[in-house]
Amino acid sequence: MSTIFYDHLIEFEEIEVALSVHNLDPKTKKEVSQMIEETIHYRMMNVILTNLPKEHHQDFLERFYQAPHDEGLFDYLKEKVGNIEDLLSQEIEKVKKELLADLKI
Amino acid sequence: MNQNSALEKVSLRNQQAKQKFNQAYPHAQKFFQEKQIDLGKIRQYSSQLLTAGTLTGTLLISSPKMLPLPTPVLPEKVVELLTDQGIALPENPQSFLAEHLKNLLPDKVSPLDPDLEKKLGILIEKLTGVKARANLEGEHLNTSYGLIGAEQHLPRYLGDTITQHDQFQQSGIAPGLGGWGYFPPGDILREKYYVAVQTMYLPNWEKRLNSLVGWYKYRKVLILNPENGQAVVADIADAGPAAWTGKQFGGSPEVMFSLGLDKGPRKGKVLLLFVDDPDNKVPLGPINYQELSLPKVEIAKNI
Repeated sequence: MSTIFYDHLIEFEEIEVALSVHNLDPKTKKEVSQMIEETIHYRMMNVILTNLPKEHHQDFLERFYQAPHDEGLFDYLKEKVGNIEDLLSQEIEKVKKELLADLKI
Repeated sequence: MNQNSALEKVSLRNQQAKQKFNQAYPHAQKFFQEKQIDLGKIRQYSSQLLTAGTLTGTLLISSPKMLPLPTPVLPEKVVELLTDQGIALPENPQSFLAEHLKNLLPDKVSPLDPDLEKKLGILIEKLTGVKARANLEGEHLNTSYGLIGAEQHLPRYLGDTITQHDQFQQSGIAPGLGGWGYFPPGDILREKYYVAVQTMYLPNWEKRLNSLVGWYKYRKVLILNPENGQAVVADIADAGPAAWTGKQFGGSPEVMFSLGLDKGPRKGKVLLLFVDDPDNKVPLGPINYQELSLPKVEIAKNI
């Protein structure tokens, strides 16, 4: 289910496998999962604001605050930054590779 | 590289992402602070909004993409069954469910329209004999239609090992306990047919922890694979999976086998509904359609 409009771009099964190798206790696993989750959101928002002209930042943030799940946010962003979906996909791949390297035993 | 070093690296990456963002976009940092939102926990905030919207029937901004998918037109046979028009139940309820659910559910997993959820619950009740609902006693998961992935066995008691589990030993055993700790002594079915759901993303999970834990602990659910109609009654015994896995539910090896999802990628789309079973009469385990003696249910008034 999409609770954030870019959720469909995120599928980190490899990270899940890499994490399982560490045999973490539930508390640590939860903490690490949350850190990964946070990293994703900060990195995604970073890409958005880097590519979105500054005069639209406030408007976008307001829209995002109103409905972070609204896939219509993509339409809004695409109007201003044509290839935003590609840019976000590339960032997600980058985050995935970095995390995989971090979790490598 | 040891475990600590790996986890420190993940933590460092997390800190760097936050720091970089806050330094580059202080106005955005200020915006989130003023709104009292933690960007890292935006999922919980979003779930809260979605639930509020569903309960009040309102949407915060008007965008066609925000609207839940409308209930598809129900096939005549399904309508007849739902409205109890005196037609006989299908000879093969499993095939009937598979045939019709594939057309009623969207291709992509997503929250379902409450009206469709209600009808699906009634249809499933008619064809499995199990009263299952997406919304029970006011509780609703963030989605009733999602992807389920294979989980490991859970330790049932202190000293439990994988060799003491009678089936699917190749799935392994989780290093930690399930969400509720060890299972009640002697109750092996609760571990065999357990499911993990994303309780951690429920709105106000942390604020309402005590009451919600009591409600969700070993709560029975009916899980149904719309591709083949295979279904299983399971109990909630763990929290997960993380949203970034792209999945919404996790199933024990026995649950995945019961759904016909134990091969290949070991994941698939499922419907997951709460079982309304106040007298604890519905047994855990796969639905055996051949052995069902389906009662005539008076349901027309419910739709």
